Amino acid sequence: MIPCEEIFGAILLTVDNEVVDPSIHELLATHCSQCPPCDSTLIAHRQNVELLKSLLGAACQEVISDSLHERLIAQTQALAAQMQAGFYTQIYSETFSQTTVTIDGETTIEISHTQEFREGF
Amino acid sequence: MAVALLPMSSEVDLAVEPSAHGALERASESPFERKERFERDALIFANPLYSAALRYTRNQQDAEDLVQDTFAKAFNSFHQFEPGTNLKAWLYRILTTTFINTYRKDQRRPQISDGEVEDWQIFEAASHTSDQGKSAEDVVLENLPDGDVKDALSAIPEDFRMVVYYADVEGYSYKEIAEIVGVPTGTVMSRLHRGRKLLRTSLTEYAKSRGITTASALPPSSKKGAAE
Repeated sequence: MIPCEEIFGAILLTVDNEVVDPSIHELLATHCSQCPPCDSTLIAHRQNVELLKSLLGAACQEVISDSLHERLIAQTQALAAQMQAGFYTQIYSETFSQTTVTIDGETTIEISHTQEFREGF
Repeated sequence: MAVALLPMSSEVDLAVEPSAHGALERASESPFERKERFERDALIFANPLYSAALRYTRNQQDAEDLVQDTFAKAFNSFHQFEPGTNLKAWLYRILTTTFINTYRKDQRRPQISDGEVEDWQIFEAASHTSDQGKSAEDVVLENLPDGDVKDALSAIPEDFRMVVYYADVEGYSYKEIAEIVGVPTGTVMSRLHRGRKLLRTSLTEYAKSRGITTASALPPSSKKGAAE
């Protein structure tokens, strides 16, 4: 008979519906029919997982605040508007610079401008 | 509205080969069309994303910021999402990476040993005792208020907490969790097992602190074996 320690992995997979190879089901059923402790472990583990799922499922039902909802809508609109304007928010900063030199070479005008795009509003 | 316990088939694949044609179509989508599609398909997951964000950050303000950052990133990358694949899981993946990169950057976190596989095997072999029917402790835990359940979950280390969350609240498969969290499926399996054990212990502590005991919760005929 397969050692109980090795059967335990099959118990975990079975309870989580992760068994891919159907022969594992047979192996587990055969083992449990001859080994009451493993059979109890399977039942207890299944019950425990069901209990945790029901407790967590009931407790973790969060609903976002109205203000977050509004911010998400506003953010989506602003990002779409930025995209429309040809900006990509992945680019966080951009520098424009322009140098103008007059014909006689005496006057130099430098224009430098840095613009930052940020995520989040 | 609420977190849906979606019965996810294990065939759902986050890493579906993107079709060049579809990607091209989405790239040429107008910003307005993208906004419409995003509001319709993605923003409906704000509640479950916020719920997961709260599990990560454990406070409302950071959770709200995390959700907002996640949706901003998702909007800008929305052309990369392959329609027909699991959008909620895709958003969870962005949530996870955003949390790791932004909110966890400066935090010192204890390293989790990944000698977990042997760990549970040894543990289970040692606690290989027979136990029939619904345990007295189960009955106690069933009566815990939701606030205690959330606190008990918050109390366990993040790596375990989030795997338990994705498996037992969202009903995701090991493979889906592996893709969201970015670890191998074997690690998901062992973290899930250890996480559930830690959660169970944590829940039991909350029950004890409330003075709910197995004796008070059980009818007199019920019998409980050796303590866990």
